[in-house]
Amino acid sequence: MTPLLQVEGLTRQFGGLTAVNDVTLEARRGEIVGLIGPNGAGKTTLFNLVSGVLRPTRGRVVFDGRDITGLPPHAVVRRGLARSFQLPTLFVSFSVRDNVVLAGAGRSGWEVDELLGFFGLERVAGEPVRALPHGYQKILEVAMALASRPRMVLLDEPFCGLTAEEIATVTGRVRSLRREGVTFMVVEHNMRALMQMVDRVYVLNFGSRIAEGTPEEVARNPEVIRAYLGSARHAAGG
Amino acid sequence: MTGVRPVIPALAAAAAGLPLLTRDPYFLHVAITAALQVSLASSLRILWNVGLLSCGHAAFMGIGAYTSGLLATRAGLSPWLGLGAGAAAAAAVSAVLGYLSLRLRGIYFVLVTFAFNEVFILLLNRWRDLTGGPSGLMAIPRFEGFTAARVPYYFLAIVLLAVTLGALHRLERSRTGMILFAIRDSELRAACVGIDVVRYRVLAFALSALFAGAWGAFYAHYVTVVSPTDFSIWQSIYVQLYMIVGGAGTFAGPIVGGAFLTVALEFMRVTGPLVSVIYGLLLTLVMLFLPGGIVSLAALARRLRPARPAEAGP
Repeated sequence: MTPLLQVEGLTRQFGGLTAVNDVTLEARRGEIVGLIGPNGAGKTTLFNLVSGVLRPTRGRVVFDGRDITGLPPHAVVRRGLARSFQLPTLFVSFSVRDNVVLAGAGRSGWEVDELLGFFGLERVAGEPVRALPHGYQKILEVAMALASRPRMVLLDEPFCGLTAEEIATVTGRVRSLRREGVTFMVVEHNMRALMQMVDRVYVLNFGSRIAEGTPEEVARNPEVIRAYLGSARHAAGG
Repeated sequence: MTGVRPVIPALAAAAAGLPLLTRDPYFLHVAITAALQVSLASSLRILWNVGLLSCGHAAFMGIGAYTSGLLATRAGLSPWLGLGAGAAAAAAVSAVLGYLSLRLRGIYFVLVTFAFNEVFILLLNRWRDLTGGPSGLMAIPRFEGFTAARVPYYFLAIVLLAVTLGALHRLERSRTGMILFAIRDSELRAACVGIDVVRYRVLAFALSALFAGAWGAFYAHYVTVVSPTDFSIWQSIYVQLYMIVGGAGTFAGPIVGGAFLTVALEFMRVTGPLVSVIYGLLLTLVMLFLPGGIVSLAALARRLRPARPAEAGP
């Protein structure tokens, strides 16, 4: 069976800077794939290219056998490929409940209350999202990406700023959805939490793919270690 | 919401009663003008809700006025049907303009609408054979059964106002209305949950023009002579001011702004040339000290009122 998502030779240039450079990767059906790399490696740009927020300079994105390169974001979501954002990007003048309704719950996807309950958001359902603590906002962010029952979800740093308990909640939900056949690709800096969740990892550095493998393989890869230590030394140097 | 329901019958009663108090054509004319400006400002708010500002609302009113006026004078179409024809023409033109320009955002869209209003006026002035040029389109028939008497026009304006506000209120509470607010909150998120942002923006633009077009047709068959200056960029800017000074954040804002400023402007005419100065000062003061518009005074008053201790339950 062909992979659900195939990214082939994807490249994006901003002026003279190549943010994503000839990246090829794939996600098989029902897989949880990690995407890691130092800051500025091009992870979020790659998500923006796949989800239609940005158009690639070169390369192809194929989802479920169909070429979706350059489609606008709403058309990509309607084909069953959704995403979340690193910084909570919510409809700030609405309640938690209305946010998941707007995200598609109740129409094509989840029952609204079922989805709120699944993520433990039922107690804050009536609250305006702007008054919500950060942890709830991040969890709502993930819930919104799932509201339309997509077949695949791109999660951009879902654990950033969450407590250990909240991380466990999100991880548990992602795993249980995977059992129902949902495919995930996850960008995350919290290595321990990510490595426990994923089947396979891709590593980006300066826009290029430098490694691929199981969490154990990637953790031993000398080029990956160099990329991370290199950037650490860089950061220490100022 | 709670405060609104008793207000509506009170307003309706006051509106119905006005001709009992005065049949002075001047006062009734001011009231009709207020109904028109309230409707224009309220319909412009559809765009505001989706996060856009138009500098061309008067042009769409003008499209409605000239469409219905020309169809009545040249083709003998009933002005009653002209209301619909004017609305449809304005909506159609705005849909095309919106489709071409609504990929632009913020100030760029404002500039497109500004330019559109100017081009529209230029066209009216130059295309003399059709429009009558700068002196305008004359001898537009009145609605069947209407004369120069103001009272029937007044009641027609009130009915149209009620229909306009009723429709706009329903729209705002509908799923479409909700989606418009969502796009304003975050265009990126809206697109990423499957909302076709450009399509909804075009829809909002067309709906706002639809109401402006209908009121333009009403205006043409009320004043019976329309000329390019009636639909200039200044009228567009006034409509924006009514909406913003009243309070664009609430449904009541453009209603209060349109009514208050139209009436205030009329009564300030007694001051002669000072009128513009006073008007400008008033607007500046509101924008500086009441960024939420005149309607935010109500919320302010509620907060300042001492809390009543006996308010807890029966």
